[in-house]
Amino acid sequence: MSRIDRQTVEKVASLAYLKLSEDEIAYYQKQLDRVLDYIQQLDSVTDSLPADWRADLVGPVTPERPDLIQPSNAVEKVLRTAPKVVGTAFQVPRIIE
Amino acid sequence: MSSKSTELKSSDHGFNSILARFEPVIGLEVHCQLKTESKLFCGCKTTFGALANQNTCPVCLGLPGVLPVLNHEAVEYAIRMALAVGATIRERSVFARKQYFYPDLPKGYQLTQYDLPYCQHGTLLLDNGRRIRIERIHMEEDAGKNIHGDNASYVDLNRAGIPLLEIVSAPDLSGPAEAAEYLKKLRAIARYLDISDGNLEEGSFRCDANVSLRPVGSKTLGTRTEIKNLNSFRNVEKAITYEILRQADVLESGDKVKQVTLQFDAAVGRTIVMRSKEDSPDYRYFPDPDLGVLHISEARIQSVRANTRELPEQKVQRFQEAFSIPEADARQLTEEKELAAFFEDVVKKVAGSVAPKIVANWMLSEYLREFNARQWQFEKPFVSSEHFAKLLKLLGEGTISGKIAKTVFEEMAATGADPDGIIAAKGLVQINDSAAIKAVVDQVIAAHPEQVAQYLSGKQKVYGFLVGQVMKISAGRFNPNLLNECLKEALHGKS
Amino acid sequence: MRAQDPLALSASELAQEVYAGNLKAHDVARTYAQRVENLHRELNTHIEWDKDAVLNEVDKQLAYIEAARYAQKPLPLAGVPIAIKDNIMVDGQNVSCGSQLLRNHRAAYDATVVQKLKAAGALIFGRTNMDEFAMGSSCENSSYGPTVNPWNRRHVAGGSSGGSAAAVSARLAPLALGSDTGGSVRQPASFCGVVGLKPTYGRVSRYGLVAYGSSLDQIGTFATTVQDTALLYGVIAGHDPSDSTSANIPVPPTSLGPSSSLKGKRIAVIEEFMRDGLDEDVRTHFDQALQVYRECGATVETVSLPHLAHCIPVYYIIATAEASSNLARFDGIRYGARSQKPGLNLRELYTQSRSEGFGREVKQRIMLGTYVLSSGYYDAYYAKANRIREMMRREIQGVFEQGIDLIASPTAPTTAFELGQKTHDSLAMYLSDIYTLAANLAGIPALSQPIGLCRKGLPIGMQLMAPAFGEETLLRSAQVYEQQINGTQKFRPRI
Repeated sequence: MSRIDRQTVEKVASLAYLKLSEDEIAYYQKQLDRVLDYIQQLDSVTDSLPADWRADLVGPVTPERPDLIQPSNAVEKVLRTAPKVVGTAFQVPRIIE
Repeated sequence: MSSKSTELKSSDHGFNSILARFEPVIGLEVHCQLKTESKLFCGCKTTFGALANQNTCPVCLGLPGVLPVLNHEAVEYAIRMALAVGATIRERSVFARKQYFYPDLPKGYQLTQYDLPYCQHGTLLLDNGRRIRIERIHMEEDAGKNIHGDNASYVDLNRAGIPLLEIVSAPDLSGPAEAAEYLKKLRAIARYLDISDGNLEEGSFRCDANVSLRPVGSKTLGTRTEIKNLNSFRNVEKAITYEILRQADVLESGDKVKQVTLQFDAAVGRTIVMRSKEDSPDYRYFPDPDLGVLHISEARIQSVRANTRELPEQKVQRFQEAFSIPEADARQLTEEKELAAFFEDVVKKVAGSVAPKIVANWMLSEYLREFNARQWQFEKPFVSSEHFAKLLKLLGEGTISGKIAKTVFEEMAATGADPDGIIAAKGLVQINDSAAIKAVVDQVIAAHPEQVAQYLSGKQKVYGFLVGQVMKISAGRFNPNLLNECLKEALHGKS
Repeated sequence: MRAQDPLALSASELAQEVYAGNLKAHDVARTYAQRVENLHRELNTHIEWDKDAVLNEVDKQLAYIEAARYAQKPLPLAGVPIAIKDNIMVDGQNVSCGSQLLRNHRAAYDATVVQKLKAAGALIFGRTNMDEFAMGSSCENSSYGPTVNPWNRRHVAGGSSGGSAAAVSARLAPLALGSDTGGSVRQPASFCGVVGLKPTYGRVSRYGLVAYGSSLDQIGTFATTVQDTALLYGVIAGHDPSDSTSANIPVPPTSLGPSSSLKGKRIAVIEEFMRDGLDEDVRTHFDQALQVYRECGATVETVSLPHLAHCIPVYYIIATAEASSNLARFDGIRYGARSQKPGLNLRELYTQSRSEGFGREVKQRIMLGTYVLSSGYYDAYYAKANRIREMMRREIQGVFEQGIDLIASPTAPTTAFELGQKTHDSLAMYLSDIYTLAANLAGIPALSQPIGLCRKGLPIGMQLMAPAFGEETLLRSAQVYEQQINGTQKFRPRI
């Protein structure tokens, strides 16, 4: 029994903006299937937390910084090594909206 | 100050008949840029119009290894907005990652509040008394900008990371005009609170509209469409009107409205499909592990409340009570925060010699006419409150007549000069010398025996003609009260 | 005064000698540079080792060291070479994370830890090899080839910080930094016979560390002794306002006093960890090490932590979910390698660049993480994993609250395995992390120290875990053990 089919591998790759060859699809289907099968052990694990418990609500409070401008020259360095730059903008293939 | 656009409605006779059959259900999602000094999660400037990518740093460029730190002031602004619409503030709220790939999104995700926003359940009151529910307000970072060339596109990340409030209304708006009013009121609030410059053209105040129709009397909502990025009040009305007409067409031909995301092409006045629901992305939201919980304590809310600013509605009330002006005038004067401030400034400067009511009349007629015709900016008023107050004072003290005052104001509006200077240069000072007035009155009576006779025989209308003749000679400078006195005296002397 | 061999001194001794003027930082740098030059190729410890470039950078630091000495500013790491894992930013130097995607990426800023190291007088000494984006347990997932174990070159160095562990083991630097998301410092430390410390989550700033699993990542240290570990930890620990998850809790002084007894200290062994899969040789040495701890005054007891049995699935859900998001920024738009294939549209460019740039295991983890966060699966995987994570955290905390001071286990179930042994079975590789994951999931500090050699002559490590911010207890206890076994000289490979 397979937990993950070919279509799922393709869908996930597409969501992650990855392109897979036929061999890779077969490879990842097998690997992910094994890993997800192993992960399935969690289904039987119970916890004693309240039903509405959420990890993101119990964490520490995020610090807040004062609203001050901090100059940076990082962009000059980034533009120098960026794949494709015109003026000070990054160039990409024409976006068709 | 744009006047409400009604041309589409009036030009299309079908619109009202559609409303007889269908009830539009409209909700707005408004993106309001906060005018903090620095970005939401880094110390970069938020100023508009810099060279591409100049207002960036490792954090907003999305370099590897960087981490966000929340801007305190942005949270304060967000609290102000929540309080202004009477909303509930969540003590602990969460920033999530909304994930999608796009060149203007440097991290591959946007930091935004998802299912635990800091604010819920507000309301906004329309002039017709309807309360529009605000479902939620959340904080998020803006994306950058893609600029499209002929053969390539270019990415500028200056805007990436600027703080935004997303204000989501319930589907409570019943038509294009209400939608525009809601948007204007929301913008006025943001500007009164001093948290946003509310500039639609520069994109610091943006709006998406959700539109659906249902048969009048029906309780179930129809399939809605979403119109993205409406960048003027006019376009909000036009786009929604168009979309109502379009959906009515679809429904009446027996089809179903498809759930799509639309773009409004202002040039041709139509909505265009961007993507259908099936293509709607899987954003894979999850709480950002790089940030903790956003904590807004009751004490913090109270301290923001203590420093709260007057809201448009409150100002409308106060203007009516303190200045004895009608509600309609008070509403018009408070529509823009700067206009209201200008008005109050002038009222203060002329106190004792000119009633606030007179100031209001002048502002709403003469001043606004010139303001709109000449496209003045509030930031640098062409006619200063000092000059305007001086003009009204001269009028109030009787130095110039109302007619002269209008002439002087026209000159002020054209040149920006001081009213005293204009009056002196043109010799427009009101003449209060009875002898001089009498001399001219006598001259006019002598020159128009026929009209005098008519007047004396009971034709009251001719009186105006005689006043006009006197004024003509005096170039409008005679004190009108004295002129009246002298003319009546002279005429009755004849009888 | 007799010239000393820098290679024979500990980091603490080196710093003292340099600061005292008995040893020139310049000579230390050249001695170590020559050793790296001689050995890095066969061990593959470094990525793009460029001796001249490193020494050029070091020269700038020499002036700083001299100035600080003159000003009598303390420099805890004066003239101490430190190797940096290739996922930590050093301004102006390349940083590839072991990936082809970043093969020519140059850091535009210093990580907070690097700033601290420079301020402490350390010499930044080469970028060490690692599993691509820190995803791996053997250093075989590096696109620059695997680092081999200095004890036996047919065996792995461990991972993901294998380059740093092997470099310190082979004395290519007295100190090194790594990062530890699920054991990536402790496991290679164990495999190479050095001391590896993963501090409490939030104790060391993550600013400038390329994120893998943000809620688990922590920068950690490699050294040959506990004393040197404490020295390096003392320099890099502390609050950083650029990292919102950084703990604003003072760091107690970390200079370790003379050996004290462990009398009264209670050590717990986790029952669930001592079952299947544990190598007999490792078990025997672990039992002997516990005996040494008893001899030093500690008591040892067994505890049961049932939820810990599930740490592997919990870890791989959370780590890959976060990684899938953290690695979205690697798109070839602003930095990194962009596909050179002609005629690609925007989406194809993204997909092609990412597919060419990422290695096999990285793609697998991105896909696993994308899957567990995708629509409809969030609750079953990510939310569920976080609940069990919380249960584990509570179980561990409960143990410490009962008065247990340290939790002990082997660092890894086996000694360093052979190259290629697990590369075709991801799951088998994941299972080798079983003992180290809990500390990351619970956010507590953990240390691996060498306790012996197996029959094959490979080092065995023992892991100690302490309550959050209990690094001092960890270091003091480990030091007592180290002194009891007469130091760590025996854990130096013969090279």
